[in-house]
Amino acid sequence: MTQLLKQTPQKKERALIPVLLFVLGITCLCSLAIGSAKFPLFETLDQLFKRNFSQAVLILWEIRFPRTLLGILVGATLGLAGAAMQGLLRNPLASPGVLGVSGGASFGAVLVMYTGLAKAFPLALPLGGMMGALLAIILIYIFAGMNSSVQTLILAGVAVNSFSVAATSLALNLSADPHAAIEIIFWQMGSLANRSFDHVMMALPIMLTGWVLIFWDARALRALTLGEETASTLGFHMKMVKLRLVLGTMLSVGAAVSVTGSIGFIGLVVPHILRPFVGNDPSKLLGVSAIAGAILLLWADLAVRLLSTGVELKIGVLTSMIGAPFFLMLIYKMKKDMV
Amino acid sequence: MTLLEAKNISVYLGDHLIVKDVSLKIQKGELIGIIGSNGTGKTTLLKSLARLLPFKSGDIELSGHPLKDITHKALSQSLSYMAQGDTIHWPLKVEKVVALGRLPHLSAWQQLSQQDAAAIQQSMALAEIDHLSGRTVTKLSGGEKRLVMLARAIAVQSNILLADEPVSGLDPNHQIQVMQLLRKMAEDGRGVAVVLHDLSLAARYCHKLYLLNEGKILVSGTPKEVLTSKNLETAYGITAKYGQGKEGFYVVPWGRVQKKEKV
Repeated sequence: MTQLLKQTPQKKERALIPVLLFVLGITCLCSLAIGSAKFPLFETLDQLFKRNFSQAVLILWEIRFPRTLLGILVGATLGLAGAAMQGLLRNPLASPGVLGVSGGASFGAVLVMYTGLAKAFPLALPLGGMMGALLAIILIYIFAGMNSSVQTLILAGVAVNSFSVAATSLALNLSADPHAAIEIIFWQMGSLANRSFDHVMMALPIMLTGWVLIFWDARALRALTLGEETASTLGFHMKMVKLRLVLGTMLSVGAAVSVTGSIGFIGLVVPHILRPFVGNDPSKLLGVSAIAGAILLLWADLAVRLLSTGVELKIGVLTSMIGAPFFLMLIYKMKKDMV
Repeated sequence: MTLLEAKNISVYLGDHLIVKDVSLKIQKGELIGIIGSNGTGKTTLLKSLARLLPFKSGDIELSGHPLKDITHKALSQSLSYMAQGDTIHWPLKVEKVVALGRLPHLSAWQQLSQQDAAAIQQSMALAEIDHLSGRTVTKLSGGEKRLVMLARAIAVQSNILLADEPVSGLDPNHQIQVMQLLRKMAEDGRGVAVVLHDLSLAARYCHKLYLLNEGKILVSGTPKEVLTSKNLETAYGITAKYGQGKEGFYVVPWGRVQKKEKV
């Protein structure tokens, strides 16, 4: 009996990834099937494989597939980056945005809209976002220095983020065209709608690079449970570990925000929900947070599609509407645990 | 055989010179104690020996090789470090914390082998924490946490162990248990260095003592050579009572030396 009790959490851990992958699979099918245009999914998929391009097939391939794929990639990035930042900072309230790159990406995209470049060619928007994210990364490292502590990097991130927000507000302030201003505001709310495979292909390599950098140091995150000093006596080169984790988060989150706009709370909430299922192990949390992040974002996107009547409900608004009370609940629970 | 040797090292924290021209040897088979009053640089010295803090002058050698040339992996396998305090950020199970001590022996994606599992079990048995298996580490008492951290450090199975105040927060029974264990580990062929505040334990269990005073080594040698009334007065400003039992010499800190008023 004692043995069985001891094994139960391990079994729970082992079952978690297959269960999450199964749920992700079902969610993907729902994401492909549900939308304003109604068509039978499996028949349409069959037609797609037979290269019989009807209107339904075109909607499935050109609209639903990129949207679902981007949902998976961005959701996974947010979940993964959230788990990585919480592990690195050893703080359950850290989120992917803590490094301030989202602000840079956001400003880059807004600048493209403000100058009208976005209308000239559609991919200017994500490209601008990525340039903004890259500029933010460079600025943060210039101010904080390559050998800085994570705390210094965060402070530099806060400063760069504040400047990006101010510059975005300036763009709104000076915008002569009210339509452009509205476009900027809506873009900032985050959305997976009207994205193509070009968006996916643009963000994918950068996101994947970020993911590899983060997963590289999964073990180091576990060692960091005992603090930086002890972790470095366990064979980890902490300067390199921090550099890879921070750069990995910046690259993947920068690419995600560039193509979808800001989507809050997923990176904060997902690691929290899953932590008890992996025995609070920060390294095991990475993979499952990525899968669950994808599931949660796809669910949010499905909710947006089902709830939108006429005016498109923005996904970032929905995640924040649900995420903010969850965050409050978390603070309340932490306060209660401390008493 | 010298496992770790510091040769005339000086260590700064910011602009402050904390450790001044210190030389120290950790030999195979020896438990050495680093003692001295608060703020004399004991922890700074131990951290330098573990390559956690850089030194400005002098050199540190690990089995004859400069410490700076050793890879992170190789160093983590030969030297285990138990930090002061009980920093544990996530509520892991006790055995998972002890298992962290096996990380130096695992490659990137390698899982714990049977040999690792045996090392974890053995370390928990040596630290006498088998009964804590399955408990969440953050919910243990301060003394229990200290023993878990010791088991974690032992699980590395390195030939050098550096422990910063390993007996702080422990009751007398567990203090004796830990000191006996550390001495046995040394006598089994390792080199062990501990930072201690308890002079009675230092006198009873250490083969050799280094007494630090204002960042410098005031004196080093056997406990009887080091813990003289003159040295204790200089380093700590205390008097002590001494005795000689069958099993050796003992010392009990007794009173404070009255500072002479300047006229």
